Amino acid sequence: MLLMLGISGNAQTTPQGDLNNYVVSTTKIPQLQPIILTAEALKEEDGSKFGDFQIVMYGSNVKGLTNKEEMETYTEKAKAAGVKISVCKISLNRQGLDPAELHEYIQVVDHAYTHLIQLQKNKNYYSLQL
Amino acid sequence: MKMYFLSSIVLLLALISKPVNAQVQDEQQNYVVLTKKIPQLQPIFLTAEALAQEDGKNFGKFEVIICGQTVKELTDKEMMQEYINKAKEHNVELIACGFSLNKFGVDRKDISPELRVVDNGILYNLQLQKKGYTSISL
Repeated sequence: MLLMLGISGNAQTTPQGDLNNYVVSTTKIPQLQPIILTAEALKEEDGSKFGDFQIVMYGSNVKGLTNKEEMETYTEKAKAAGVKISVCKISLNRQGLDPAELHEYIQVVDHAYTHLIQLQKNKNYYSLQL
Repeated sequence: MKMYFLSSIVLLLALISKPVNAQVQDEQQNYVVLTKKIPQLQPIFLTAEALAQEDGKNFGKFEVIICGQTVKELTDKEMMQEYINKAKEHNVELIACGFSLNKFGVDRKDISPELRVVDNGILYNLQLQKKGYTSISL
């Protein structure tokens, strides 16, 4: 009897696990600023529950990611906030860019859309596409 | 004695099965839509209407966050008042992103006081998602 009561209790808990994880995608480099601010605020709000925060860049503007000087202002803040920045390989290919040209802090994912769905589906990330 | 025991089991089973169903049916449904184009408010109101019908008494909050360059159009008070009135009809709350207002040089006193302003629309959306809101961004 008690076991059955326990099972009905489980149905009410959120399937998030212990940590809050987030992914935000964008096609515009200047949006890195408000996104990083968001991560900083959530980090404070979540405390020990703050997990992973990723930014995924894609689209024709990814060319700007090769401007290492301009990117440094963003990557410095991202690093301090524990925010990962990655770029879509398909977008890089479309723009004829070599991953080696990117600022070293920026990682590469095969496909932005797949990555976004996988994080939601497999790891329950909160997700926002800008 | 046996009847008492049996009826206790039936009662207990009824109590156990009820909470699970009640949880699914009585849970308030809340929604948030992030838009970068004010004209999208029109179809968004239609969505709110459809969901309100679907959810019935479980229809909770429906919030729309307005971000990006479109916030410049918020200063057209006449145009916005129409949207604000429609929003009220549909129990939709319109919210402007403060970060966008600053970025595109829109003074808060130039927009309707009936529009709520949050500091950061991106942050606000994720906070609502954490609270269980269903979210889409356009």
